[in-house]
Amino acid sequence: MIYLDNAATSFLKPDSVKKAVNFSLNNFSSPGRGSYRNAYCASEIIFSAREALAKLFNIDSSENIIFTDNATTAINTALKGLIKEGDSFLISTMEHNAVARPSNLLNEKGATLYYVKGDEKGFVKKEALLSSLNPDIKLVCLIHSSNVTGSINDLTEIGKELKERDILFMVDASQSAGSVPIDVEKSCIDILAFPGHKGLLGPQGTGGLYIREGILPDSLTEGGTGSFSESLTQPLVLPDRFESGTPNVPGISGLLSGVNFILRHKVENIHAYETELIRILAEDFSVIPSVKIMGTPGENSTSVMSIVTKEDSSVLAEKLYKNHGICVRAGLHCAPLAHETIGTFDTGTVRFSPGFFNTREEMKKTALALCKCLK
Amino acid sequence: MLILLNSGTSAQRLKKILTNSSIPSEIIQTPKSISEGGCTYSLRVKSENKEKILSRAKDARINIRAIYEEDNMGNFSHS
Repeated sequence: MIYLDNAATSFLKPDSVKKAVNFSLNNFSSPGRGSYRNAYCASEIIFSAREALAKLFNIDSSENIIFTDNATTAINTALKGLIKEGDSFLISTMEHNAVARPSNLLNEKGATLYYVKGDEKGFVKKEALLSSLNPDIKLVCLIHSSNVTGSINDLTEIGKELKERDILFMVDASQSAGSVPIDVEKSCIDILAFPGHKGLLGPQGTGGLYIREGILPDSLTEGGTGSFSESLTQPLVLPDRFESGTPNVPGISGLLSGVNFILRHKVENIHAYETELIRILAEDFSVIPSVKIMGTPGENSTSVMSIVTKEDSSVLAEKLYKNHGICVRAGLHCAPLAHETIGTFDTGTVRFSPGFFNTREEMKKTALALCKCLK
Repeated sequence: MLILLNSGTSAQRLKKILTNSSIPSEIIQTPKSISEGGCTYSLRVKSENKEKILSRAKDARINIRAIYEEDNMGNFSHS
């Protein structure tokens, strides 16, 4: 099998991640709710994961990182906690439904939603974004890297402009966390939503949200936090405000191991290797007749590439798997606005997303397999 | 001396900072009699390090909920 669906989840993980999950299941109980060793150790692991993520994203205080089930939950927590009836906010047309659907719902409930259009390659340019702003806009939510084209938006130049205008900058780092360097200070990011199970190499069921100090969204879920238990009101302090109930300790243990793996290997090196893989793929695909490559794979992109061919995208993906054992994803990738933007809404695309554990040889085999499927 | 904090994460952060400054501390569940109503965590530290600890906490913007002195009999008094 050649697994090329890392944009959905990084199925291939470091062994240390699997060991960490197993160790956690065997040794840790509920954190923050007991004065015995198993509980303290669980708390320590969760704290270590927060600290590791803070280091990775250059976050000053790890208390401002909350753990969630995935990036979607993180995005919903931030958007629904901050945007109220009468507020105005802006998203791009390259957003995943994780952002587009809650935004649409908020719009239906009385908030005003504005869009900035991505270009035909899938980039959201600073000039386009700035010209879409108006004085009422309170928050801009932008995808860092498209899950359809892989295009990476320049967060730093956009973040600085938004900071000058006193507009909150929220970033969906679903495709970039762990694969592309992210610095919340340098890029003036106020809110960062990220999954744990993609580029960060953790298990599914993990994700997180960074909220800059001084920003306090309403809570989406209320309950026991192991703190301020005398009160029937949800605590104001982070991370407790957004972490009611027993957390996913085995998942977060695995996530810690994944983040430590990334810190050891360095995001810059991971990005360079994955870029090399996608360039090999793009170069070999470019000589196959009838293959149209979307975006600019290997140039200011993550290792995500979408193609359109004469074949139905879903049929082609099935052929690649059944005949060659190649795992890819076809269709609209839960990003209909993005497909509309790049002109592939009617056809969908076949998406190839290699990861750090793929080889150069696998890219060559994939190109050969695609060639055979299209004959 | 016990330093009461707002959350377990605050306690862990302060403990890490103190450890990096070679100031010993231990996280404990706050005794119910002084927990001001709810579950919370505290750092048990030596009184002689109080000023240094308060300074480190302030630098890291960690809020301290309360400080209690502990006598040899395990009784607490507000500091």
